[in-house]
Amino acid sequence: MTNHAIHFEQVSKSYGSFDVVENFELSVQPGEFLVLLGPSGCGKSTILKMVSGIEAPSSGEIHVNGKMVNYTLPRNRDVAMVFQNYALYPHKSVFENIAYPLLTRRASRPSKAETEQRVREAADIVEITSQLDKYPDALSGGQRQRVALARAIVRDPAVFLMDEPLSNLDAQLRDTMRQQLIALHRRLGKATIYVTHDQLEAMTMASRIVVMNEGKVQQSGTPEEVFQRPANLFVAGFIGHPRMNFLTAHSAGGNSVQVGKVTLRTQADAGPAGRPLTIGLRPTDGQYDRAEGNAISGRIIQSEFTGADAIQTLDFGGPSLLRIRKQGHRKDEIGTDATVTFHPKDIHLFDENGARI
Amino acid sequence: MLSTTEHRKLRLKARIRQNLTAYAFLAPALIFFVLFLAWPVVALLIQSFQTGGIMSPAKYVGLENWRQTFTDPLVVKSIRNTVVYSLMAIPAVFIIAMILALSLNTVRFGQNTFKTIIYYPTLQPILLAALMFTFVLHQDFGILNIILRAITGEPVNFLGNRNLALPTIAMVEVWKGAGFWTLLFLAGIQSLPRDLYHAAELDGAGPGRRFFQLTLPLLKPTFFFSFIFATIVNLQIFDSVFVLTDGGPVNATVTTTWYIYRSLFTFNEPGYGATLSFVLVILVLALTAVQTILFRERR
Amino acid sequence: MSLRRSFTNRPIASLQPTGAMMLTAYVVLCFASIVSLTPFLYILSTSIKETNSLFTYPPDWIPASIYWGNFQKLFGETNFARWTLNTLFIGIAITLLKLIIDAMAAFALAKLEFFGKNLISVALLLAVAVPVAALVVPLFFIIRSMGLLNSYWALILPALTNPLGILMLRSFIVSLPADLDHSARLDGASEWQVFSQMTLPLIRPGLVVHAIFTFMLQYTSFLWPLVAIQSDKKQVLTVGISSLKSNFVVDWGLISAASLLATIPITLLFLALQKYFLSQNMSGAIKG
Repeated sequence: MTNHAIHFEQVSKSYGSFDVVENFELSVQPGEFLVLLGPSGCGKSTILKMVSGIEAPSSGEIHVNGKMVNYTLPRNRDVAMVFQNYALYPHKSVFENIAYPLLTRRASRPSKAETEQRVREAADIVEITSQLDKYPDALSGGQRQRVALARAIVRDPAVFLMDEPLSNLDAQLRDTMRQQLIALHRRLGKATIYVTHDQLEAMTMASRIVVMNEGKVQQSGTPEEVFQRPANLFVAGFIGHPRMNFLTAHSAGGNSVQVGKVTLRTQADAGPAGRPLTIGLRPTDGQYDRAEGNAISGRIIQSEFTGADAIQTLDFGGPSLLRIRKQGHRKDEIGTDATVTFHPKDIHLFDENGARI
Repeated sequence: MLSTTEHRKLRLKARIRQNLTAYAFLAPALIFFVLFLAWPVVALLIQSFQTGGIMSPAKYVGLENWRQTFTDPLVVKSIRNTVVYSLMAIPAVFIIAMILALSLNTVRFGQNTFKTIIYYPTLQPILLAALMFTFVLHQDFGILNIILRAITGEPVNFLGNRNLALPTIAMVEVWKGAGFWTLLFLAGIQSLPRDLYHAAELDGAGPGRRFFQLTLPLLKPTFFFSFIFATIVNLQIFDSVFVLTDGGPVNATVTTTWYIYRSLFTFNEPGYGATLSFVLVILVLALTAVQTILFRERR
Repeated sequence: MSLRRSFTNRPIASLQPTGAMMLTAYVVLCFASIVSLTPFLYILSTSIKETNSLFTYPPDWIPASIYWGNFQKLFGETNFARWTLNTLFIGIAITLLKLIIDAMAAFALAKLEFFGKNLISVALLLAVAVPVAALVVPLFFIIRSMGLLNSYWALILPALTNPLGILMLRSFIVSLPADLDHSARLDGASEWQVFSQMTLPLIRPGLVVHAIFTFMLQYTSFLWPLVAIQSDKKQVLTVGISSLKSNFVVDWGLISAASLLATIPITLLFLALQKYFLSQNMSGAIKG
């Protein structure tokens, strides 16, 4: 337990009878960039608030650097947090904002020169040195974000917490900031919990993703794992764009399943014949014009142009329609027949409870 | 993981620490609150069963003060005067303030100058306003009487007339208070959603209908606070009575607070004053409660 | 440009005021202005006249020569200067003390969790409706038992109680974003630092309004000083001026001079802080 940067042990949080977080178990290693991913209201922000001390857990224990912090005041927790709305102090200059964490404790207050030096270092890292004399009002969204980061960096905390830090930025800026955050994390090597509902942020930045829904952990793993082997229907549906196709099916015995009139070979064992299942097919896994594999034939009834490729909707006479990504786009394909094939390993099987088989 | 009992202990400690912090912030305010507001209310009740206390030690007299209160015609009169005064002053000042606020909202130039001038009397203590009003009302040199004399040839003895004295004192409050309520109503009007008015205008609603069907209903919360605030303040009317009529003529302007003051100092009967005070507290609280309930129901 | 301006600045309650409406409004406002200002101008006129000449009819609106006797008598034979200084001193003392006391309490009520929070909030709301005039009898005895009658403390201490100030500041503090405090706490701030370094600087407009409100309340108070202070030298302005009228033969010239001068301090304050007096904040103050 002592070598974890953050450790959650059976942490629950409820308001009255409403459980926001249920039995949350997680260990974050030093240097790890952990992303908590989930839709809004899934409890991910509450977890951050419990680590920072804004909220107290209803039960369970939270450890930071091997020390139980359930009853520790926020100021003594050695964690720094970057808020969604930056929470810059509007009445303080950028310099004063960044310097603030250094000056709150009389006992450990650095000298003027040292404060100046540390603020400049932190400002340098996030490239905001030229703005030190300005006030938050005068800064752009991206600059404010950098100031918030510098303020977190300057203290050299054990742990960084980030609560949707990029969600208030426009799309282009978000791309750049994402890359800079990754670089920053590499440079500082501090354990970080990053909360987001944006799967792109999660996939690109995380060393590990924890997917949450309705207060419970759905899956924990590397970005590749959660994408390639989603643990259940929720994760499968939440991660990946366009969204995975879900088709009701049943086992045809052994490694084959029956979807409508089509029989598909699978890598996983589908269990005894007749067992009800849901199969998941990623639109991006379908291959046109290939003889081998599990072929599904149908009529193209819709085609949405998205730029480099198109999302086509295929009616194959099954229980529901199938959406497939196709490179290139031709309007006149609508109404024509097409055949798509899926590799057996790309057919995800989920049992009646939605768990992966 | 620690045991449940250990957690409970630690949690209790954290709670205590949290409460100590909060109460450290609250302590000065709470001390003054208890000493000079909560305790005096309790003391009122205790003193209402006592007599004496200023020159000699207080003695318990049971329900004597209360019995006297219910049979004293001047008590009835003082409460009646206080309520009648409020019923004259508050509606008058509100209607005038509303007219002024609407006017201010209509004009384009000089709005700030008018605002400043109209607000100016509000700055003065009510006592000073009343004192200045002697220069308005005086039979010989009061400016209002100079005007009346020029028109009718006869001055009016505003404060010496039993029927005019109380309305005249209400007039002081209107003069002094109008600016305050004008600004408050103006702020209310200017914070109303513009779109609604444009929509109403498109629907063909004229200025009159827009005022009665939009402005007044939308300002209800403002009116609610204003009425309660004005009620609490006006039911305590004392300063202008003290300086203008001292209760006269023939007790026509005796108000509850005036009677309380006289009981304490002129009649040396603090017990009786406390009893009257308690009645006043109940009166104000009851009227405030009634207003709150009426407002809630209509909403 | 001018078209756009007139559109965006257009008053709302009457979208396009007709000429007649505009005219009516100006007439109403001019009349109200005359009514508001006339008493002030009239006492200006009477203060520079001998009292005897007040009784001539028709009146001499603007005297040919200025008579300074009323003012000389005011400063020579009454404690007017002392009353003014007392009022200012007590007003400032109360304003400063109450500002910090109320801000601290408001901070606790707005930002901290503690046992009895609801009870205290309800008690404060109820206390707003307690008429302070009804408390003079017990307050007289409480202050007397503390041995403070006839002292400045008799005026200062009970005035620190008005719960409206706490409720008003609370509503200002509640409207501050909570993340600022959370952030400050994580940055190592103690609750006192959150209060003094985050909350106070950010509610400055509220503090100014609170200060004005408190000062005005003190400046205009009459009944309590009348009860608690016997010595004329320790008296405040309101009671002092009213005492001028209690002589058997009333010196109206003296009273008008006193009234005129008594308007000056608050007028100066008003001119200095006009923005706050006339802002919506001030009216918001009473809504708590």
